[in-house]
Amino acid sequence: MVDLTPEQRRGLRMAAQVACALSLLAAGAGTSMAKSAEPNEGDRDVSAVERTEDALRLRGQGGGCFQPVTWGPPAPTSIDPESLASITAMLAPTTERA
Amino acid sequence: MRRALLHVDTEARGRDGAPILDLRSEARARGKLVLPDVALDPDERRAIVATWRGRMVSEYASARVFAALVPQAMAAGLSARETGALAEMALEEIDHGIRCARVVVALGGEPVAPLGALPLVPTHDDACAVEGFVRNVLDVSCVAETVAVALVASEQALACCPALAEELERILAAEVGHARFGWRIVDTIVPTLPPEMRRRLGAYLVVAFREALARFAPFVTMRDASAAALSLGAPAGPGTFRVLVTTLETITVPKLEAAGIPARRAFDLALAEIQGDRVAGEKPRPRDAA
Repeated sequence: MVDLTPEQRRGLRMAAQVACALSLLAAGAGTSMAKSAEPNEGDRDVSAVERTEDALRLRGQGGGCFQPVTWGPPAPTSIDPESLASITAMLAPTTERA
Repeated sequence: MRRALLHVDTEARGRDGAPILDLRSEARARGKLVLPDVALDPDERRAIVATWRGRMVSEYASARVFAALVPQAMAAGLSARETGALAEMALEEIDHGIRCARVVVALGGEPVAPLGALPLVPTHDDACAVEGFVRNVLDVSCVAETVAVALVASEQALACCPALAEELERILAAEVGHARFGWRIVDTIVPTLPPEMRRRLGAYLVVAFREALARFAPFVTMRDASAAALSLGAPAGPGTFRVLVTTLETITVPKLEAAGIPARRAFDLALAEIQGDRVAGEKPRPRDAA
């Protein structure tokens, strides 16, 4: 189970409302992490969070330094055309890649 | 009486040479914000003041992001109403900067800080105007601002007093609009794009997701804040990272998948890269300071 507080779950519900994605949230981790112990789609999300946190801790990412939570969007990232093409090829349906 | 026209002191520079953002007079002009005297240890108090000062800079600097989207929206053929909405969003970000400055003052700090690096908003010259604009909107609205809604809403629920809750409520209302703008684009424009273009948008998302994950990675190793500190806006430590991942995985990704963008695979690739597996590299670029 992802360890989120009731306030954080409230925030997720609001974000889902904004995206008109409440039904998606209900089908995913947002609800299952709070309510259900049954294996479901949410378990995939739980392991993604935990795996990533473990990897970052192992690599000492951030080193425990303080960082403020900010909300203003930074400038979007740029990508060079070669990288974009190589990643696009990775996203092609399996039949096309073969 | 002569009034200062510059918010940024062009003479004063921070250690990295960045201009200094000084919102003292703007904060003062809005009247005093009074917060209760919450018992905090000195480290927590410093962290909270630094948080609100960081928000002041980040909100103020993000005005340029929305402003840069205005000509891109025009080139993409968006309606005057939607293009005008972007200009309003830029002003809202400046307003948020001043609101955050008021909180800094209420906490006993000075709303003065280096503005930091201000990377340009990419124009994506390899793509047509619509594709380039949609790339930026995905990053700004569907990733950053949707996560911001989740974070501000959760923080607002914890606010120590009605005055702070009101400030957060005003900020939240605008962040909702900024996120909703992107989801309108996704609902109306993205489904009309050719499949190959939607696949390229998915490829772009790998990089956008990875940047967001990298930006939030330091929270994983931060210690949890006390309840008192959280009520004043202290970072929630690992919980902040979990909100990011859960928002992306359960809201952003499925919504984009429904619009025909391969966002699930993109998110998996970004996670794999953050977990240590190289997927694809680009040249490093300067990051926004906050």
